[in-house]
Amino acid sequence: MTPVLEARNLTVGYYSPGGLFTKPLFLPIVHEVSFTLQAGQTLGIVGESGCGKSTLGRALLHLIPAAKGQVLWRGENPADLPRAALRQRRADMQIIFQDPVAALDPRMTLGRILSRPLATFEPSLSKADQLTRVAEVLHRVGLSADFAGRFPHELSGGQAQRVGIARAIIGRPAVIVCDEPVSALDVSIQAQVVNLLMDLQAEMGLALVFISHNLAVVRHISHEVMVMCLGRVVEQAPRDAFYARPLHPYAAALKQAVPQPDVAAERLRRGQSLPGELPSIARPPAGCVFSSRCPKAQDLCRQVRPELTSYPAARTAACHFVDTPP
Amino acid sequence: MACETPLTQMNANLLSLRDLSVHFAHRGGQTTVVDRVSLDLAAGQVLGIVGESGSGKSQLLFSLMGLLAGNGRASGRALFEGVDLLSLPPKALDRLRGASLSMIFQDPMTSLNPYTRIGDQLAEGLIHHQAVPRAQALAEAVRMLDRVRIPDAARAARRYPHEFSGGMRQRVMIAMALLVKPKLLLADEPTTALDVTIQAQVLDLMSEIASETGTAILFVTHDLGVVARICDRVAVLYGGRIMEDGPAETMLTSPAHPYARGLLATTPRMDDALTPRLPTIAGTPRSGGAMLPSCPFAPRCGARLPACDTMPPLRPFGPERRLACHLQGET
Repeated sequence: MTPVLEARNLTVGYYSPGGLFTKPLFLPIVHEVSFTLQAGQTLGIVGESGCGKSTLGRALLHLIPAAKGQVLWRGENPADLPRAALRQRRADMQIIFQDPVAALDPRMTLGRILSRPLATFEPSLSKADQLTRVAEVLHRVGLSADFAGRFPHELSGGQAQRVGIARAIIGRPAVIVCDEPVSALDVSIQAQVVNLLMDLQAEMGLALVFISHNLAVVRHISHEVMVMCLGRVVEQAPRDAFYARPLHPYAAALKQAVPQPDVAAERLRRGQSLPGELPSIARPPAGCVFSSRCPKAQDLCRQVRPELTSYPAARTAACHFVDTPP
Repeated sequence: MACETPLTQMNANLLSLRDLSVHFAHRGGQTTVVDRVSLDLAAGQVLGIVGESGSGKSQLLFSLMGLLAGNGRASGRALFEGVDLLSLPPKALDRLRGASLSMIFQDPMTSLNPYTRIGDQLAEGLIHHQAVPRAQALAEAVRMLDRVRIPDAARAARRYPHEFSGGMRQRVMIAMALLVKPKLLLADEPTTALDVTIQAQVLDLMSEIASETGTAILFVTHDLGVVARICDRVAVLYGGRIMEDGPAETMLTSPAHPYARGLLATTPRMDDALTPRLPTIAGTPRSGGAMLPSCPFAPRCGARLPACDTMPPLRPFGPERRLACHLQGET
């Protein structure tokens, strides 16, 4: 089956503005990312701030052009589509943001916010049908129909994120990129939103790209996990294999660093934190991106960047010293 | 109003809160965000205050430091080494704040002065509050920066806040707070804005320094994982009231209050069973509004009884534990 979303050696970056005598400089943020995503599946993208995960998410939606490589939507490259066709195809590809309140226009009622995608993607729909669809989608995300008359400032964070999800699904998309959708929410609300996304996925066959820094949340929703470090994929694996044993030392360190509500386990981890910080993405190291913090690093790691290599159980990792799993 | 639960060992404690309440006046009247909280903290102990948004956990800290907004007012008593912080004149409170009490805020960027070099900001506390000569204060600042593992501390002291990463700034804040060797450190979600591997470093650093200097920490957080990592004891706050408190280990292995149980169940873990649906707590956290006569958690509680229309008192429940729930004894 043609994957609903595919990235082939995708490289994305930004241009630093040039001066009078200097040419604009290209600064790559995401390097050579490849994956395929089928309908009904979730790809979890994990990494710390500055690893390029949000830039990757936006590039997948063709909001930032690919510098090298391709993004494919159902096998088609959005960069090749004419403007009008591209606009129509965007109905298939939606996004949910981290700050749910900031993502809603404060001067619009929720009804207007939610009917905007319909006006764009299904202009033939009558006003009455639009209202029905808005009421339907509000109900689907667990809000009553009278929310259509409210304004964003009247919502709690969890309610605002439900509206964000409603706006993303009202055009019946194939893919939703969720950029840290629960990190701004209270713990008791996070689980509600994750459950809603999983229910919608089961009902609508949605493919999700779930970007998060929290490996514990990603574990519950993802089928496949991709770990990024300084703009590069360092490990990619099916969920169960990954959580049983991450292959890359950075992935292992991330997993180890999420504090668990277990006093005995956390006491053992005290004093075990990984020292140092990652270098700036503007000045990446010559060798492995993790070499400056890696407990296993050798001279080779600081000089030669390890390639992403395949391992059994459909997983890949970029490390010179992976202990191959038994 | 009389204290609901008399606590023992009044004098052994560094900090004793007795019926501490925080109110905000506004046009419609008055909102109570912290309601009659009584807690004790011994020297060298780390006490976690856990709650969601609107639980009053940050306002509780602010009231101790005299940092409530203009329309805020604290009542009750907050005895710090026997001195009531709430009734101290501003000058006397200011002397305490520099010498024995420090605070770390959630956002390290907005808490540092962008126009002042890091070293000068750190030294200011010593110069102002402890009359340490400037050169000596700067030298101590550099030593402290080195202590919190800021690389090349002598040079870093001459830099400005924007030249540091988020994790480094938070370590600078910790250095600043600990430089005056406070007896009590108030920490308001100090690691929430940090990446997980940096959070682990900062938590390690805080436990290490606290155990060395005997500094007690009142640690506000929403993350039960962080509680497990750093806290000795924990109090769970909901709607401005303590629902349950006790040793961190007991609370995390056998929480008694339905809210505490819900909070633990909804915290995703790396090793729990993968289910098609995560456990949730229905409804949304309380925000603002008048204090309910009922238990604040009653509208969301799955185990609600008719008795829950009145607020249950906080009563002793097992060794070193207290619980405010009518279900007590029935579960």
